[in-house]
Amino acid sequence: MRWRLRGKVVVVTGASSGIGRVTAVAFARQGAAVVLVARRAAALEAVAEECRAHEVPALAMPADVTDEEAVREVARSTVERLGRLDVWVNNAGVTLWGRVEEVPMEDFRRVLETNFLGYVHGARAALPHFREQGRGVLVNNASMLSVVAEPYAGAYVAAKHAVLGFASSLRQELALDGLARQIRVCSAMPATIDTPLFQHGGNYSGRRAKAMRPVYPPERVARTLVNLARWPRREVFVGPAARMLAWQWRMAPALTERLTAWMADQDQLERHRLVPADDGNLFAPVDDGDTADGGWGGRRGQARRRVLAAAVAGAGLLGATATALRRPRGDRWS
Amino acid sequence: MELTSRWTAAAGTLVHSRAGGDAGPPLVLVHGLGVASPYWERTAAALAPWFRVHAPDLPGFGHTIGPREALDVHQLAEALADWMRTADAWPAVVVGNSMGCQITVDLAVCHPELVRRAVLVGPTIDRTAPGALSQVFRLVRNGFREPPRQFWIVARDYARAGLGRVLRTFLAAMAEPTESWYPRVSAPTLVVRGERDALVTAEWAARVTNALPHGGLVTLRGAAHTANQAAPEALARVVRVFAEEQSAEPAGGTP
Repeated sequence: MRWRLRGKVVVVTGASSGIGRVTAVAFARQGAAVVLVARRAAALEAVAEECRAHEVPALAMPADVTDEEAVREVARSTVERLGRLDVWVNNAGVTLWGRVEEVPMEDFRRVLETNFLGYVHGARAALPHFREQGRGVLVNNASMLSVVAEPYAGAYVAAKHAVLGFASSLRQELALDGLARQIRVCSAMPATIDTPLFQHGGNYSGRRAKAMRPVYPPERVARTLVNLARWPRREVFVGPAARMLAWQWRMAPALTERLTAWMADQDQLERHRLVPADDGNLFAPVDDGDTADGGWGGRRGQARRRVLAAAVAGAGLLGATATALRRPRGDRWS
Repeated sequence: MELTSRWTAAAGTLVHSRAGGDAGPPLVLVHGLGVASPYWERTAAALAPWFRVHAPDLPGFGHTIGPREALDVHQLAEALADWMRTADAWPAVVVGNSMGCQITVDLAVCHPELVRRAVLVGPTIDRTAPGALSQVFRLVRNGFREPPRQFWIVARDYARAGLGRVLRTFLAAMAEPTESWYPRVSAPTLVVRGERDALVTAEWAARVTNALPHGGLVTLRGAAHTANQAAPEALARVVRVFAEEQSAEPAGGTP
């Protein structure tokens, strides 16, 4: 059975917090052995403990994804200690708020190195092992910002766009090698997810960053990433808001571009709370904040939206039923 | 006694095994075609007080991911040998069932240092049947003689392995000339046959025992092909007595 995960070995980068953490535990729950990669060894070990509670091997391998040799060493070490490497989840990511012209160039470069080149390093590390095994899945946690854009996050948007293009190109190379069915490359494009990414990012905008609504819980992305490992698909959105925005962008690009700019200016950065410039976790990890969610109310928001949708659907059903059952008033011909 | 799941990196994959018992010599239970460690659960629990029992899932079966191509008997034996060395489960009393007997014999001939003693429960392939199709008929007939609970355990493991792998491994088992290997098994070997086994006839069991240099035959009452399912306590008793024997010649008979 191709799609079962028990006994498979999965590497998750960026596993110390946010989506990576929840995804690692989700894979462990499915019975896969997990290897966790991030910069903070202590936080990583805590996540590994959580995974081991599901009776699977869990190894913490601290590394910085911008270091290609370290990433290759993770892959080598995984195969040496666990015997195989089946799924590589590229997920480690940082963000940077501020205008393109104002953010320091080295911070801009650092975002591209982590979010894009980090994924390239992961692919280059995992592929030789996939080729040797004759099977493997590379899962890239991209973003809806791979296909749409927002202001004040130039580097992040560029890196996510790059990931999607790179994944596509890689898929083409594998197809030419005749390995399209054996080695799969998948990209997930989540909407706004409730993680500490927003508050951990570098910020030169002067305004405090927050999660732009609607916000989804990280469990939703974890479920998608796990399902991509089982039933690989090319590109998948996570969260209806992502799909809808991408569709609007395709239908009316110029208008949607300006609307998204206005929405981000309203809801992504706060007007009333000003913060000093800071490079966040770009060059060194922050001490606190190894939680899965970022405190942005993703679960609550999702629950509220579902109740609202159910209420509207229920009311609509009630109205339709009432209309259908209405007694006909008098004879038409009279 | 409680069994726990272990994961060991061996044979180029991550091998899942059920293990129990913390005292005594190592004992390895080798499953047959399509099945995996679950159907050894009761026998393993009965043996755990006296041995360090291991029931690995061979690559492609149970929870152990295997390569895309199905492994043949010799490759499965090599995988088992690699796992035994890595998991430090040797020199062991190796107990095989059905195709597991073929794997055990291969292991005993190619890696004699790993096998202290061997127990072959229902040694396939019984060549008194003319061909592959008749083996299948016998298997179906035997199915009606097995305890009903076995069906679901076996069906689930067959589904895990996948029909393609099961069929290809069956053909590999049919092609394997295990009969020519029996005379080369140097370890003391006990052949156990369930009285009601439809897949392996009494005549074949006797022929196997005679071909083995140090062979003995035991018949279990009330059991069919998978005696470990039908009579786990009786099988455990037989294995324990055989493993603890001092002499090289195993005593045969019907307990």
